[in-house]
Amino acid sequence: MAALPHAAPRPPEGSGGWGVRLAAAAVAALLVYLVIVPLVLLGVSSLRPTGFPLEPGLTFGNFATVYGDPRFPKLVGTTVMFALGSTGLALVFGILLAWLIERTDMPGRGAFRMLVILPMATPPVLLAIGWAMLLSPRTGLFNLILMDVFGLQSAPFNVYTLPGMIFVESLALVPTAFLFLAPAFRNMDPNLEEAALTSGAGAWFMVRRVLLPLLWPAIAACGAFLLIVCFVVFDIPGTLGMPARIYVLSTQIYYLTADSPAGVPLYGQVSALGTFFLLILFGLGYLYYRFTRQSQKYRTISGKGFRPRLIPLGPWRWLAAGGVTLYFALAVLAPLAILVWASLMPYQTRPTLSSLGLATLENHLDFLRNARLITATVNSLTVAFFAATLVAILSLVVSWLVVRQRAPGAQLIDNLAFTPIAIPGVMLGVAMVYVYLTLDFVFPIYGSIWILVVAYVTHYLSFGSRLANGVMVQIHPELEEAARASGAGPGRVLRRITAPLVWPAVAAIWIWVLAHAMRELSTALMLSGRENTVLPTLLWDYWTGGEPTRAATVGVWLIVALAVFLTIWHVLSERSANTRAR
Amino acid sequence: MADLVKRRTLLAGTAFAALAASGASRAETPAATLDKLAATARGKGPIIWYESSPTDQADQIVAAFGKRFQGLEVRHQRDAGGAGIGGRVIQEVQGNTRTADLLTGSASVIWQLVNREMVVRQDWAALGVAPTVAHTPFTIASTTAVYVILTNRQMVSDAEAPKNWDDLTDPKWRNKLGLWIRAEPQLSLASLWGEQRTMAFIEKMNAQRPFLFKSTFPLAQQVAAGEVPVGVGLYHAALPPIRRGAPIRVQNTDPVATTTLHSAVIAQGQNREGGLLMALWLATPEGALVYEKATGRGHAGVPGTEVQKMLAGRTLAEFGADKVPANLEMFERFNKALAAGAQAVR
Repeated sequence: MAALPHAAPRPPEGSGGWGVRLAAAAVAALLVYLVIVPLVLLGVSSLRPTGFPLEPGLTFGNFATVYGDPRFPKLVGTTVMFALGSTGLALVFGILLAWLIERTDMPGRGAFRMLVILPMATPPVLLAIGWAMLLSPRTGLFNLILMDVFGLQSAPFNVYTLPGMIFVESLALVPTAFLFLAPAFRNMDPNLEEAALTSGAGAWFMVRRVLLPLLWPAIAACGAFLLIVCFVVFDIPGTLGMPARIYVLSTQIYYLTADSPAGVPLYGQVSALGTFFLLILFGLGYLYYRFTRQSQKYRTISGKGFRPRLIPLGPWRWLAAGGVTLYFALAVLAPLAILVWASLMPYQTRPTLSSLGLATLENHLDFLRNARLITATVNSLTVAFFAATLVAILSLVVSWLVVRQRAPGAQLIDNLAFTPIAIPGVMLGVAMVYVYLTLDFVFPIYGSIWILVVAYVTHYLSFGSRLANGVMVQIHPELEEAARASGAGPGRVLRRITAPLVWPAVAAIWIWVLAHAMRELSTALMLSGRENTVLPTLLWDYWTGGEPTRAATVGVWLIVALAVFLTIWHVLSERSANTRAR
Repeated sequence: MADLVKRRTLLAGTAFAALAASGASRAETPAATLDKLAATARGKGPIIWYESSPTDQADQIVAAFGKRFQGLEVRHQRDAGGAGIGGRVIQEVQGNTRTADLLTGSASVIWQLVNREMVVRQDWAALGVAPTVAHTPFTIASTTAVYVILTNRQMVSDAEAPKNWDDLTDPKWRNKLGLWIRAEPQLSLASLWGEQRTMAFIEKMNAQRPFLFKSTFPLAQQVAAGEVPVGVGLYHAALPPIRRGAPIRVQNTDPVATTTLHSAVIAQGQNREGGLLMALWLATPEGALVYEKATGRGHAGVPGTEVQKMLAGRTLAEFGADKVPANLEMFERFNKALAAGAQAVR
């Protein structure tokens, strides 16, 4: 797919001997099994007349049906607009927040740094539901208030539109953008800015000629990553777009899977559509690689210590703080408040004073004493724990082989670890069903929580390995070299030197995967069975089953739990950054 | 279609019929037949039942079944998506893993399984089942979903509330109408109206720029919330919010569009006798009433159910299960028209 990231000083290529070679072979085999086997099954499915891989026949009819459909160009156009719009808006918010929090003297920066990632605790489907309650054209609370205050005849906003979808998606993505960009802002060497300023450069000149060139690779890499996410995301387009018949590629795949008029899922068309998806996403993945490679070149963090220069905002600092507070209110408080409201209602109703009389704790009491909910909670925690642990370990090993050891086949291993990001959750779920039905006699995990663990490990490995690579290249190999010179083998070096150094990053990967696995919906839906109900599928069950108030209740508790996890993650990440800075 | 049925499937069906008939004539009471099947089903493991009701509701049915047939356990697997339930069975059968013993769903789903020789052919008469309930050798009716017009009582007065299908095409409901994403009620209406008139109706509805919902459950909730003041939904889906006090008005139509959900015994199921027992029990007054009480969906073919009283004397619009294969393409055309409609008029 692309070249490996350029690291800081590295050991010679192919070092480590047979131990490393064996480890590399084992990891490569595991990744081929996790990533390539499902993709092959999808390829077979696209060539079957019925789409079921184990049924007879060979055809290109599914491709003809999908790509010959006159609505296909519109579908692609809508998808591209959604992805570009969401990415662009999220980048603007993310850059602004990263700059304000990391490089200015805005008051409350420490608190904002923690608050800004909290939207990640809100499952996107809940964010969409919350915003539907706030900005729907007829009953949305914000619309009603604005119509009342300004005497408007019609609602000023409609969330069931492409701009509405883009707005909500961008809110969901801002924390990820911030997490990508904040280190780049934080780690920028102030000497360059100071040199520009002392040379008489104005602020705009400095931004244009110094800051942007320095930040461009990080911004571009972040943009490519967000674009990939926007192409595969289902929750928000599914909740806000499908009712208004605004389809993107992922919702079209879901429609063909779950609501096909034929009575069974049209897997053949799903897989044929998926190949187009994969081509686009692999292209974006390549761009992402290129940009991250660039960002390694531009990395300015080094052994010498420095503190980034904080730009004084003067009287604007309070306005900036107000703006960030507004973002936090929109991204977290408003949707959470409306969900809390819904969770207190016996049925979905708009927030009015007269509705207050209906308030009841029944949904919350039911949550606390419902055996199914307890089972789903235990399942969610178990799946998230094992997925997070395995991703953290595998990411560390992959990164060690790729970055530190430059093991034979490092390029292949790195590409395989990154590939799953290009597979939409719905498609991954379909593929996993086939893999584990076919291999049921070897790995009888179909219908159990373990199939979810395998799916999540596959899916989140791309993130884990990127983060681990990023940290691994920043650690100078002197300590490892010293250990090797003292006679320690590669395994011992990994265990005693490298692993402790990257431990904070591994912990950060662990918590990030834990939080995302707790809220993941699309893959879980495709793999759900009676024995592996998790909180997101239960929430979806309630939502589609006409119990939005119970769905909101599950959501509120889920958000609270995830917020706790993310706070822990943030603390660990900060510690990781401080450790590296030292 | 019988020529598509695999020999072992036929044999399995014959075995059930023989079991039902053994030691008794066709006049044997259904209760005795059920008890014989229960005796055979015990010891063959739990009965796996794929169906669409929310699990909380299904638990009530499962409990009542377990009380009636001691020693038999039913495991309910929900799939509300419609198409997914059939796909799951196909995948599991082809993967040679444990699959459903009984599937309850729309005839279009079951027919996909029949075409793949995955459904047991039954001699329903030998099992004491009336032909009005079992339309084909593969299916037995389990419940009837009834489409009604739902309106928000606080936003739409009694006088202006739409009373029948044509009222929904009044321009005053433009941007205020909610529909199911699947053209099931339209397909049922086509049994009386024909394809041309039904397609014209769909196009008129499209001009209203309706919101499409994945299921009629959230549709009913959105009518309650006032997001869509008017909707065409399933009666049983509106019951939960109505029971909680939501301001939803229910209007029966004439003709009444209905969709019968059928049960089919899966040929590759491990406990096919248990699956058949469950299917037969759901078609008895006892089973139908338990099912209706739990889900709000009654059995129009079983006397004593609420839905039977509700539909009495009305004109019903629905294709029989035997007509489904011939109508699949028409259904697909309706679905496409519904999905493309709003974009076309925008």
